[in-house]
Amino acid sequence: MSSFAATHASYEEAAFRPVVQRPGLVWWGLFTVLSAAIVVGAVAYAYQLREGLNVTGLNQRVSWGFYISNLVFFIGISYGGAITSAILRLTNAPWRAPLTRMAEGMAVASLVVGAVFPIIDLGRPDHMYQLFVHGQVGSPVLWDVVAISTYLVASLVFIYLPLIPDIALCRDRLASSAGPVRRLLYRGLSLGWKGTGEQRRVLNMGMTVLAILIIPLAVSVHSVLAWLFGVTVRPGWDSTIFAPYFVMGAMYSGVGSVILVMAAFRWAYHLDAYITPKHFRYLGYMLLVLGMGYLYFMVAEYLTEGYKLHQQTGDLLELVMLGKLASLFWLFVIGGLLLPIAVVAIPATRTVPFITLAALAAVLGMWLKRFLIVVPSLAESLSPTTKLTIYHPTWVEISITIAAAAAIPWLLMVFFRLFPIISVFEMDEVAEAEERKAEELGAAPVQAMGVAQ
Amino acid sequence: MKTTLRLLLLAATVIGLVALLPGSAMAQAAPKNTSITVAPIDQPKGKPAIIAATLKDAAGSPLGGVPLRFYVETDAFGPRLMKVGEGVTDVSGTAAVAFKSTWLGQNKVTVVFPGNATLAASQANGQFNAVGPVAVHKNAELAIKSIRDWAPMVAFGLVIVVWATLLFVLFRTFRVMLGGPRERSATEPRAVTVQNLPADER
Repeated sequence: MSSFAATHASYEEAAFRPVVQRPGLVWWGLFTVLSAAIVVGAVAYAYQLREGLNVTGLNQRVSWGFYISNLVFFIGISYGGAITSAILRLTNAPWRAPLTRMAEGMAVASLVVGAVFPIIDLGRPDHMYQLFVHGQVGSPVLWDVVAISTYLVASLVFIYLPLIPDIALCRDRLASSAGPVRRLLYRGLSLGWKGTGEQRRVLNMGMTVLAILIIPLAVSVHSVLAWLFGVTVRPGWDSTIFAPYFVMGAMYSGVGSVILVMAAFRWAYHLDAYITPKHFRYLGYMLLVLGMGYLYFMVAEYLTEGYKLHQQTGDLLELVMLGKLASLFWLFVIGGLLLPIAVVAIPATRTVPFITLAALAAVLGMWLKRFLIVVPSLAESLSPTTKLTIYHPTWVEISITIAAAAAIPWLLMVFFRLFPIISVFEMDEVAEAEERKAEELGAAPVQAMGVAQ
Repeated sequence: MKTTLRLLLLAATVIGLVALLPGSAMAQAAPKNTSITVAPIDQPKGKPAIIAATLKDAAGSPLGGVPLRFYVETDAFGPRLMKVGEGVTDVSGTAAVAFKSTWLGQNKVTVVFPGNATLAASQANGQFNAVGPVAVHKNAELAIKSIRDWAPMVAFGLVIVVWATLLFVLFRTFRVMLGGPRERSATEPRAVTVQNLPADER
């Protein structure tokens, strides 16, 4: 057996572990807990549909609460997953291969979850119809719907293309063991892949085009989302840097989420040989740079606003930094921003558990920051005669938020029960390239696809 | 003892039957029939429609002091009733609500009297015409007038380009994967037949 064949067999086995292994007690336990959270969220939504938005803490002034914070947050982490995969693919980074599938899966799952929130926030879902009938081309709301739906389709195609050869592998490998529905699914989705030169060429071209397309598309989605806030004259939102500020925050939380997904599936399926500390370190560096970038944007935003200090902006900054919401703000700054930066910057803490903890802190911190962007600007009064409006989320909003957070790992668990967790096709490509390079150098092939630490 | 019990049972049955006889003081009085007449006034430009309804009993006498519920039919995802107000009838049996519709043209109205212990429930339908424009707010627009008209077209053009690219990639992938006419190896030379050459090169 050649070195390539031996390596291939090894990572193919690893990629198929979640598909062929019978789920254990931990899998079922987690699946049940997540499903229960989703069911509670669905019940809460049904209750909201029946009773109206008055069962939420939303009111006439704070009309965007948890729901719009969730929209910005989940779309943001989706963006981070897609862009991580696209940039690594375009730069041909050999270490990308084991993690692209997880990053893309996370991107699609969080996008699907995030895209539901505008509908939930509407109260009556049938009002979406009005947007298409009476939509204004000058309104960012209309463009937001266009951008999110386009991005969703592009993300699905982006994850599907490299999946075709792997689905064909499932079709051939699981022909006897899979049930009839699965066999039909694999046969249909593999599109008759045989691995001919023409098929590989067209697939690679499609993947490259999509990788190029997904980057500006993801940037535009988050920019349009930021303009929903930025084109208003509300204190705290009336800002020209909101689009890049949002994009940076999205990438920061997105890379954090990729690290979390990677850590969870690495632990669950013993993928240590393929997802190594090097992957965590490299993504940790990305987290560090993006965290510093976000810190820069935040300081730039607050500094210019604070320097001008219009009356309402002054009240808002005081509310967020020193007032009722100060604890949340400083929790984000210290826990969600400075801590992850420090963890990756200090060599002693640049380990898998610490980087995973830093990623968790970054992701939770970014949710908090989204909340602090959305709610205080609405709560702060625009009129000197009215007072600050208090917003308290109800059990309905909290349940729906928890359900959304649970839906992402739930979708990923189901997805990776059906399809290989590692892109075997991309691993092959990287391994072949490594072997060719080694042959050119006249040496024995080194450990393939950059898994050496 | 047995005889006494039988007599008691018989007496109870007789009393029960008598009590249920029509006109008996113990019998429950049947609710009187009612009817509703709906008379909506069309919605003029910028003003609400007035939906008025009159409740009368079977003899045609107006019924005052009873609540009526007013609904307008909406048509998003199938017709259903949207409650737009509730009013108590006056001495002439009439109640009215003002409603500003966002739907131009004919609006269907349903007025319901839910009924009470003495009056039977009833309902009636009607319709009013809403004249536009119904939008009362002005949409914000791009401040730079010279690009206001064509900027959305450029954005829309970009969206079309993205969708076209996606469809092109999918089309190519599907065609090659499903064994279309151009399936060949990457190293295979392109097959050129004489028929495909330009006439002067044959």
